[in-house]
Amino acid sequence: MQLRDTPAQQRFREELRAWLRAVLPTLDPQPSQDDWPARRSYDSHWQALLHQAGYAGLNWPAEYGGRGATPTEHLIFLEESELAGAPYVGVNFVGLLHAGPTLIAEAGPEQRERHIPAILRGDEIWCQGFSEPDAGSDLAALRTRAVLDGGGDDYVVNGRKIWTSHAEVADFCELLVRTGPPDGPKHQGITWLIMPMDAPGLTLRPLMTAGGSTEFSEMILEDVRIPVANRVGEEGDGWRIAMVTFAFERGTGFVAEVVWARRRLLEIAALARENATWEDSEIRRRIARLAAEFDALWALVKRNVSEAEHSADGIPGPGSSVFKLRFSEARQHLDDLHAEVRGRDSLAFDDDLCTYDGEPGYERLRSLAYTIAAGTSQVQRNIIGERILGLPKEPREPSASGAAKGGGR
Amino acid sequence: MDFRPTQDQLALAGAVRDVLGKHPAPGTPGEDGPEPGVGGVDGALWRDLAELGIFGVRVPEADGGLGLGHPESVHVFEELGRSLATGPFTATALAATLLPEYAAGRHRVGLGDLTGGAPQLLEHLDALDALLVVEIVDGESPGAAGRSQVLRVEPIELRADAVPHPVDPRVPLHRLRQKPLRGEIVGDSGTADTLLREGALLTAAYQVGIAAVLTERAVAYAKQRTQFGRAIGSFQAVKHLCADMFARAELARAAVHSAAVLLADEAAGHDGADLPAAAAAVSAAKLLADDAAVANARAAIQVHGGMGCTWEMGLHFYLKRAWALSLAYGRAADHADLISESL
Repeated sequence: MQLRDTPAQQRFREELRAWLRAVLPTLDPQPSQDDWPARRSYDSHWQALLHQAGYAGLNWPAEYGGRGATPTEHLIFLEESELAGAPYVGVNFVGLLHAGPTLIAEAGPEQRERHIPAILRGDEIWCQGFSEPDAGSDLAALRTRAVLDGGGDDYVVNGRKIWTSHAEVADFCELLVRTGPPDGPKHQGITWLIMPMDAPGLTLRPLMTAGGSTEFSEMILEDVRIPVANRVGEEGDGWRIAMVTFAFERGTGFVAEVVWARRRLLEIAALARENATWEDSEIRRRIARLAAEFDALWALVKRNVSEAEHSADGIPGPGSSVFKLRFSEARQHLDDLHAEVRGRDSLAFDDDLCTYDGEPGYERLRSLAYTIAAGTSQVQRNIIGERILGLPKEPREPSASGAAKGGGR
Repeated sequence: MDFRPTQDQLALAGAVRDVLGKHPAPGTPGEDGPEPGVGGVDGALWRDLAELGIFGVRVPEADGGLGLGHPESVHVFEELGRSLATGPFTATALAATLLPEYAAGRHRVGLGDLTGGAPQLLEHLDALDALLVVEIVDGESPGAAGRSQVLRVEPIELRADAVPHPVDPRVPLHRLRQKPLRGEIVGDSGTADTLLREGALLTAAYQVGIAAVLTERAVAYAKQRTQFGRAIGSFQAVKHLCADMFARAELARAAVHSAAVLLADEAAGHDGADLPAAAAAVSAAKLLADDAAVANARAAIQVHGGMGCTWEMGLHFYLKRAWALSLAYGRAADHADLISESL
């Protein structure tokens, strides 16, 4: 049981630090969050730099152009990048964290060859078409319908998708559709398709968040034709394929944010000393308690990563639900505490910041989604209760079609 | 980095668990709760644990200890907490790192932390062979005034009154009536800080044991108890109580293990720029573990419903111990203040 780097890990860390020190000063200032074309080119440029330096697809197998790094090296990468203030994965999030790993695990050779190198280079942006207005936590209830046309070469897709980040700039969408009968077992009859975002019949409706950003879109699909060749895996096997990506999302999606949160807490402590709210022992102790929470979460990340490193598949286990649950709540407390330390200053957005990133009022509103996105806190508690603790599932309403017989969540 | 417990650490914990299994504490599953007022140290359990070497885990082998470190100690103390073992385990293990003669566990050593001011309640006084006292040096001693030091005191010479009704019925308390204390100085303020810090770590590990075992008990009960025609654990309202218990115990354990590793690294002269200071890590572990033990004891009682509040169900023993330990080796506010100094 130890936390120190091995000599190889230390070398990896030092090389990465040196590279970050050299390359970060060459970057342009971050574009405004609402300037989507500029964001795409900024994030793609960063991804291209990572690719040239051999840091793209760090944890992907070498045979697919990745580095084949261990989970610990991946953790070091996330930690050092955050500490150095390097750009986030940004619009490459879905490609690198969801679609790419899924294609590696499940796609055919032609699909892999077509997409994986382009994702790694930052040439291809992906978005996710999973959730629907009537299928949120109950994702398997999705109803977007795909029907083979007469010739059998295309699926014709109709329906609505929601919470699609980066849809405006994406080239492709990982799309879950229902190919089975609408009243059949709900976890079966789902299929995973690659949808080109320039397909006719696709309309985007931006959704403005409570913070005023245009992060999400609703996608309306009307007779969108998607070639059968764009199907990943078998028809009806999409649920299982989609579950592969969720393990990745919960395992690594929020890790760098712990580093960010610890740094933000130091800034809040410094501000509190400056404006004398530090003299209020309640404020001071709340800051200290959050520091304890984030340090513990960082330790939990290291525990989870150590376990993943020595597990057969390298996929984070269900312990990541504990992390997701506690981090998302702590993150909201952090932003509330920041507002309290700022006092009435927290009533105004800082107009001098050309980007929303880090603006405390915006972050406070953004953190509302943390306990909802990637599985709500309530869903995480069900996962812990049922999969880890073995508590019985809530009995489902019996339905005429026997839809309740489908497997897991 | 490999933050998983090693096979040896798990084996040590397993050996401690086996011994504890032979001496179940009153109020733990299958054992009747003791009558109010009956308590104290289980002499046979103490001897068996001493034979395993748990008091000398961190004492060098040359001095009769196991020659291991903090990561092993916290594994031992989590097991003690799981079994709600009663006695001056923490104080005796701390004393052994200072005075190796205590490593074999032949003597029971208590510890009184008098740095926090009155009132002073001492645990297990009648069962002690020696008492270490951490106190602030009075103004009369030149040079050291205002700093802390460690005294070794003969328990039998102390003037103290037995507390007739301690809240934790198994931990006898005495109220100290005497000041100043007479004894041999065995450590300076640096030693005093080290003792209190390591005591906080061991106590946190014990609290993790309480938090973890209560999660298991609540889950087992929620699976077996039926109401409205189904196991109560299938209701999300109950399931989510259990999930939160698990999350609290897991997070607190990660904090305790991290603090143990950092403390061991600091002692060995290693430190990493990316790692928090060991002292703040111990305080973080104590904060989280105290919270996990107390909150899980309350939640376990809630899941057990009316029976959870009864003497015979025994859950109150865990809650009372968790309360007491939350006030040992630094209260929440003390540890929060210590962390805030590092920010």
